[in-house]
Parts: sequence; C-alpha cells; structure tokens
Amino acid sequence: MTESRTYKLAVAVVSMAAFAAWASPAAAQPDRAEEKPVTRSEFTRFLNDYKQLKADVATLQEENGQLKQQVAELQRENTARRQVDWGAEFETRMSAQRDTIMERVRDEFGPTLDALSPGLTNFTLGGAGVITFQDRQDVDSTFGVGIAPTLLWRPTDRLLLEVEVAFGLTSDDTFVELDYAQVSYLLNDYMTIAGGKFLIPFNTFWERWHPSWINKSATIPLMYERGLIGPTGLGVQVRGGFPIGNMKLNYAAYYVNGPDFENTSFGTAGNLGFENFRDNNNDKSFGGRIGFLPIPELELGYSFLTGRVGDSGSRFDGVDTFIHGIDLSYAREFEAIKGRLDLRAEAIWVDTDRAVFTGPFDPFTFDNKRSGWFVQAAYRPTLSDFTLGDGIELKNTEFVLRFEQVRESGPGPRGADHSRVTLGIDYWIRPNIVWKIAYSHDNVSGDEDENGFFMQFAFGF
Amino acid sequence: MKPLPLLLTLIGVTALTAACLSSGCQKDRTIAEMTMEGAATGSQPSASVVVPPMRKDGARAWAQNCMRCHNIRDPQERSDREWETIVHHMRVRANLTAEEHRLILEFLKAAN
Repeated sequence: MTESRTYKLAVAVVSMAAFAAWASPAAAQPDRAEEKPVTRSEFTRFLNDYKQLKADVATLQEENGQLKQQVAELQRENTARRQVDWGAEFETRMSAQRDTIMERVRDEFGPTLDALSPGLTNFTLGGAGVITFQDRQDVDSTFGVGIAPTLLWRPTDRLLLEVEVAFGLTSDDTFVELDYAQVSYLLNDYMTIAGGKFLIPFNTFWERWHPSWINKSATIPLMYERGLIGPTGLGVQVRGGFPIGNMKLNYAAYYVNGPDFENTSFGTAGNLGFENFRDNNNDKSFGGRIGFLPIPELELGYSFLTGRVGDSGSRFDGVDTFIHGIDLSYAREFEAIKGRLDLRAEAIWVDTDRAVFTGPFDPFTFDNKRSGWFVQAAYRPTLSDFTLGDGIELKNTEFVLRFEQVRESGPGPRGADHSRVTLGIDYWIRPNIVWKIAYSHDNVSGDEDENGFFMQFAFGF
Repeated sequence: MKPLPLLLTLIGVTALTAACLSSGCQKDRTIAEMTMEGAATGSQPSASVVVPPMRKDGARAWAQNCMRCHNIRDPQERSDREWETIVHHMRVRANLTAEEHRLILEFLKAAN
C-alpha cells in the first residue's frame, strides 16, 4: 500500500513537472502572428489616429488656455467690484451720518436761523399774464398784452404783504399800474385785519376770479366792464371765516375812500368812479359781504357798499349811493355728464341820489339807477377718455356760456339796455395755462351792437 | 332793472342743485372725492398727486376750496416755504378758516 502511494505521488510529481515545463514561457512555443510585419495600411491608419489624437490634445489645450484666461478676468473683475462696493458702502454710511448731523443742526438751530432771515425765506413770486386778440364790430381788430406779477412777503406767521403791479399797453403807450398793495395780519383763527389798496370783497368776480387764467371766459362780465363796481378799495378791512357744523360762513367788512361822482361830462354824468385815491370828501364808504356755504360746492353771497360820493363843498356834496349785490357759485363733477359743471351768477344794483347836471349841455336830471346781472355755465368733460390726434384730450376742453344784461337810466342813449350772450371754448394746456376763444353777440337797444370775436392765451404763475 | 329773469334763473339753478343733491346725484363724486381718487386714476389735472389716507382731510379741504375758483395746482410746483406763503395769501383772499389753512398746508407739504 505504501509503495503504491509513493508510486502515485511520483507519477503526480512527474506529471506536474512536465505540465510546468510545457506551460512556462521559456518552454512555450513562440507566437508566429506577433512576429508578422505591420502592413502599410495598418501603419497609415495608426498614423492617422495618432495625428487625430494629437490635434484633439492641441484643441483641448487651447480651450483650457482660454478658460484660464476667462477665469483670470473674472477674478480681476470680482476684485474690482468688491473694491467699488466697498466705496459705495462707505459713501452710504457717510451720507447717513451727514444726514443725521444735518438733522440735528436743523432741529437745534433751524428756528433761530429762520428768525434771522425772514425776508429772504418767505418771499414768493406769483401772478398772471395774458396775450389777447379782439375783433369787435365797427372797431379795428387788435392784439394786446398784459402781465401782472404778484409779490408776496411773509415776514412772520401772522403778517403778509401783497403787491401786484400790472404792466400793459394802451393804444399808444405803455402803462404800469398798482393793482393792489395790501398788508394783512391774522388776528386770530376767525379774523384777519388788512389795509391798503385791496381787491374789493363785493360779490366775487374782482376779488377771486378776475385773473385771466381763472376767468373762464375771454371777456369780463358786462356789468364790470361798464363799471357798476370797481375792482379795488383804499382803506381797511376785517374778514374771516368759520364753520357752522358742516356748513361755513365767511365775512368781510371794509371802510374805504369809496367811489366819487362823475358830473362834468354828458356821457358819464351820474356814474361812479372807483379810482378815488385822494378822497373827494370826508365821508368814507362802508361795505361788506357775507358768504354762506351750505355744502362745500355751493356758495351764496350778499354784498353792499354805501357812502357819500359827491365832492365836498360842491353842490353835489350831499349825493350818496347805495350799491348791493348777490352772487352764487356752484362747482361739482357728475358721473352722469362725464364731467365738471361750474355755475356762477352775480347781480348788482346801484342806486345813487338824483342830481341836476349842468355843463356845455342842457341841464338835466334823471333817476340815477343802474343794474346788471350775469349767469355763466361752464362744462368740462373731465371724465372723458376721448383723444383727438396727438395729445389733444377732450377732458382738457371747457365750454363756457354766459348770459348777461346791464340796464342804465339816463337821457338818450345813456338809458339803453345792453344784453349779451357769449359762447366760448377753452383748452387747458396745463391747469394754469389756457387758450380761450369766444364770440359775443350783443344787443344794445337804441345804439350800435358790439358783437365781437376774442382770443386769449392766459397763464398763471 | 326788472330782476325777474335773474331771480328766476338763480332760483332755477338753486332748485336744480338742491334737487340733484337730494335725489340721487349724491352718487356723483364731489370735487374733493374726484381729486383724491383721480390722484390714482389720472382723471384730474394734477394726477401725479398721491394722497396718503392720513392727508385725506387736507386733500378734501384743498380741492373744495381751491377748485371753487380755479384749477388745482400741482403741489410739486412749489417748495414748503412757498406754500406757507401762498396758503397764507389764500387764507386771506378766500376767507379760509384756520383749520382749513392748517389742513391744506399739511397736505401740500406732504404731497410736494
């Protein structure tokens, strides 16, 4: 058994040795295929592959170079941006600190500085200007111009000085006129006292809406054109306003030189003059106005003025006058008519004592009464979106219609009734700049009519 | 003068107004309301004005009093200092109450 095993082991060892000798590289048979030479086509293919790979590597290297350049640029930009941001942040911080310091300075020293420089800091310029063209029946047509700057100076919280000077042209000359010069002082919440030459608070036309950029028509109402009441008074006044629940009442009372009395010309005898800057008698005129606003959009007013008008020491010494008037204004925007309606109406009655006039004419006397009224309606389609052409909007157009009449007593044509209808169209270029055209149809009983066409370019500043 | 035509006209206008106010025209917006809403819609001339809620009383007083006579002016036309002088001037001219003066001035300063 042992011999058999030894024999088997010997056979196995010999077999393994034989296998190892066969499997070893040295003993292995050489591969005849590897020793075969490369063909020309294979070499060409390998060469082409090599060139392609080399080109690919060159492209990749170039792209890599470009990417490196871009990265470098981005890094530079980033560095620069960080520097800029830091500068901006610095500026912001400095600005905030500066504002804080200035605020503290203002809080601490502002009132003192204001008190030291009242004249320079509370001075304001306003006013109005107008360029006109008119073509009236039987009168040569003409252009005109007028500018009236208003200077306001508010030295203290209660005191206000106002001066308006008008510059314009007459038929052959220029004129400069002091429209008004008024000093006013706020006495308390409900009363202001004022003095000087002021716009007269009789009705509302002269005081509130005579400036050409406020007056919606290209003409002024006939009763003011004919001088039933003048634009200004020279004297003192008290005025103010106060609420009554949801309503409001305002008032004005004044004591002025008052009007004087025309008595030298047949054409104007009995009329009142309102440029009585050196009073013609010792009796001053007294007047006032009460305005009542039951709702904010509606104002109703009553005005009066009474006084002696005859020259002292003359035979007209005892001639007195009493003038009174009413006014109404209403403005509201209605959805139903897609716009804003503005109604204004005023009336004046003048009653001056009877006098006998003599001169280069036959003596005459008459019941010296004059009166006038107007009703004006204006409509502006403020809610309309309609546009015409480039930038012309219907909502900037306003249509104005005014009916009016003046009746005067007197001999001959002086006693004529004068009525007028004026239709106008305004175009608002801005809230304070307007282009107006209007046509007036006149009817003068017993005299020539004065129909006319008017244009105005008016502006407020 | 026979005041009949004038009086009839005035009575007619007043009656029309009163009738309107009492019969549904209240749906229509007042000038002040239009102005405040118009600030956003652009339906008013000074459409650039932005009205904070706290300034509504001032905007209302501004619109009601100024538009009674003339178009409202853009608050940005003037500085605070100038508005102080101008509103003082208008207080005297239009008989504004002290409260209206204060409200209007506050509004104009906030809006310019």
